[in-house]
Amino acid sequence: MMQLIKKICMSIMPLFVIGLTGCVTPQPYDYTALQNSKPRSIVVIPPLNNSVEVGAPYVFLSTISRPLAEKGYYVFPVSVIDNFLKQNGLPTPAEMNTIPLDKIREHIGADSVLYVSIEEWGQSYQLVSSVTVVKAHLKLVDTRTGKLLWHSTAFAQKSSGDGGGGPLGALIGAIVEQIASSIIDHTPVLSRQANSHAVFNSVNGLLNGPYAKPEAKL
Amino acid sequence: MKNILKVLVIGLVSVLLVAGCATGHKDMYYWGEYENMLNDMYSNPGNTGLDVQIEKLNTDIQQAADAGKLSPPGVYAHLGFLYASQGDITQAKKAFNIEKKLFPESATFINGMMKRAFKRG
Repeated sequence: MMQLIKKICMSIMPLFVIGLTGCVTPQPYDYTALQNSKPRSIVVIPPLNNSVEVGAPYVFLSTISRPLAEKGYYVFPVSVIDNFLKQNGLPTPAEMNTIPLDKIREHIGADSVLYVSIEEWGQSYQLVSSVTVVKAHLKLVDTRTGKLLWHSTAFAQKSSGDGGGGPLGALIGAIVEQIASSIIDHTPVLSRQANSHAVFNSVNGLLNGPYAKPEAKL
Repeated sequence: MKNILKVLVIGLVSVLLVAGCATGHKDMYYWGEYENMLNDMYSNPGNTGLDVQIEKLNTDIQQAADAGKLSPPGVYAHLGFLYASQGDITQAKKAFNIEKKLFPESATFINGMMKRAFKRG
């Protein structure tokens, strides 16, 4: 009887956990390169922009320092770095992303560099709903070896509410949301959420940096 | 009996891991207005000149101290850069040195900034 109960518990428990979370996926992230490199510091290069919103890179940049620093890394001040790159003949993010790794080490002294490309940014107006999306690819590279240490996709979205009233109500709701969002920009909040989740999630988030408190295990 | 205990422990740990995945993280640093300011610098450059930034950062630094928390990486470096841009060498050096002391990883970059900023002095 005990054996049977034990068998049932052991087989149900993993399903229970997986069902609960949605955070658990079958493919564990391979952290070998990151664990071997153990970077103490990260410099974020202003993002490449593949979205239709011209202002996206610098809004993104204002939301990336916090999760990286809270994860325990020294993060170079993004605005000062941006200015430094501009003063050194790299006027736009496209040029900034070409700076050689040895120059980064020599002048900035960063152990690793975070490359970002923004894929989607802002509001798209669908027929009976309105969605604001932030999506960016993140790549952390070791400045000593050029190895890829970590990568992720930061993603967050917000839909306009379904206020009832059927298709007409939804259409009106979407229009209202569209207008409201032209006044209130949801992208900074979404960008914070996206980056925070990318860095902190327990499946393929970053590992703790040198300043992380011991009890912040994940 | 021992096996049931084991199962329960695994279950509890799993639930805790789940909770860790879902719940927020408690901040180590005091972030104040810093990231809002960074956003404003690009969206509203007219309203975030050097003086405005200096004031916001100093306010944040004071509030961090009052709350018994550290200022985040980069804040003192940014402040030093602002002072250097205004030609205030004394304040710039002070802020830069604090950044280096708090975060030795910043030394290469800070030293470079100091060299470039102060050589016209």
